[in-house]
Amino acid sequence: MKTTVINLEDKSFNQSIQDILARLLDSGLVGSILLPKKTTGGDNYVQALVKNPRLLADTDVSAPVILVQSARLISNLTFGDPGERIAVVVKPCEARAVVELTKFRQIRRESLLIIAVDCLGTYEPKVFSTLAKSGKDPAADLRKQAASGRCEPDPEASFRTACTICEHPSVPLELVDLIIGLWGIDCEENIYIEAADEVAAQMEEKGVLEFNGGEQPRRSECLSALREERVKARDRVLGDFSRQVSSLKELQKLLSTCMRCHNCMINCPICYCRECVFRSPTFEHTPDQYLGWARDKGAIRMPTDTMMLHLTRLNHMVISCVGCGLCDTACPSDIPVTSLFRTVGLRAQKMMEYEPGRSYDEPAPATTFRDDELLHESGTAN
Amino acid sequence: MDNNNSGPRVVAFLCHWCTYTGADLAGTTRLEYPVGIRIIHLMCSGAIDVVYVLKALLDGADGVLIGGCHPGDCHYQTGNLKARRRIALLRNILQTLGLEQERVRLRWISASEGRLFAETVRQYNSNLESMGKNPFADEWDV
Repeated sequence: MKTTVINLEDKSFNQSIQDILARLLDSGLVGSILLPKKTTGGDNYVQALVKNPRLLADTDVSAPVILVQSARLISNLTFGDPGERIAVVVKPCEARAVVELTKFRQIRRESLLIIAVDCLGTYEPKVFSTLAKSGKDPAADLRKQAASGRCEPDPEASFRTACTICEHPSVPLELVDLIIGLWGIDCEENIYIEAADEVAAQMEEKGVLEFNGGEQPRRSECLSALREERVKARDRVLGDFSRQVSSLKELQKLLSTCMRCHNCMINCPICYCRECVFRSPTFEHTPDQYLGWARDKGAIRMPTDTMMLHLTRLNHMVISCVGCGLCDTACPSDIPVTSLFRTVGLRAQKMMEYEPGRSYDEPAPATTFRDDELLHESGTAN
Repeated sequence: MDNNNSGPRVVAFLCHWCTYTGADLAGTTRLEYPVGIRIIHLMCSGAIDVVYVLKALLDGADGVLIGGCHPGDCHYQTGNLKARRRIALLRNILQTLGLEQERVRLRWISASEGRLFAETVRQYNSNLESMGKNPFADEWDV
């Protein structure tokens, strides 16, 4: 690992990062960069695939908002060979989704230069817009707090639930190529970057960045304290949820306003299947089927198969759920989908001894097995 | 499904090479087992997708039985062991949500075990009888 601390001098945080990224493009090490860029409306950030360094203006790698999970976009970009290396600026949850999608062969890891940025928390897009429209710079406001190891949301807003219970405010360097550290760092004064040896060597050779070996020991202290705090918050929130949703009636209540729009599925980075059963006519039944079920049960909810959707999705992808919370963001009915998936996911992942996004080498549980396992869990032993 | 029979209604997904043939043997040897079971023939228990199991449960089947070859005997080498992971996951999820995981059962029954098949269905039937009707059967709002 190589590290560097860059003194900002009279430049802004964003200007300095933009300069580095511009050099990265000019050097030819990458052909394009995917990163958050301020929208034309000026009140939000959306990922942009930038080829012209001039258009790096108005980008902010630390934008505390996610409209679309980058892992999905990265899958679009590298499902086939893109013919060039693409730098992608991602948050920790996005980096972990990249790991999962790489295992599912939806992402070509070798086509990427992954730049992970510490996450200080994110707002729902609507909330972010409101803050930005009132003249605030939510990203800068959070960066100012990063040195303290604790980032409070704007007094008039709150972070997304997923972020408040996220145990991964950063990712280890093994998963990515370069890390822009924010936690425990005075972002008004410095930028802290660490990189894998090979990437660092390439960047130095091409004059993109000098690695001066500068360190920020506060960062790892902040991160371990933060992780401990987040695990407690997670267990509290999910424990409450689990006690509340523990019967068919409660599950029905939870899903009562679901309109089966499939937004949770469409925005989920892990729901990658191109031939999803819920995007097929499988659940478009014939009139006599609807009427038959209505006769048998006395009545049926229309559209049908609402609980089917959620239980199927849980079974198909919860093992790989990285807890990014995009399903919450996407739900027009404010159903706490993320809490449902994280609650179910934690238990299921524990059973399979699997943690999504932990390593490229651990096979996805559905693709493997051991000879003598899960006897009781599968019900074969009782 | 036939509603005249008042006993538990079971949807069974049985693999071609072992359990389905075992069920066939139970029939040809004239062993009796409860009539509420409806058998769906699969080539391998590894071909089971939870969608099938969930659809049966949510539409009110009292139980879903998945039958495959004993570990080591799978005609396709390891389909049954993959099925075991899927069923374990499904049961784990049902349990977390307070739904009845015992309504889903996985069994290894070989082509020569007609007797075991009949016994398995009898035992399952009696377990399901004591569990009572699947609550999903009367739920319109699912």
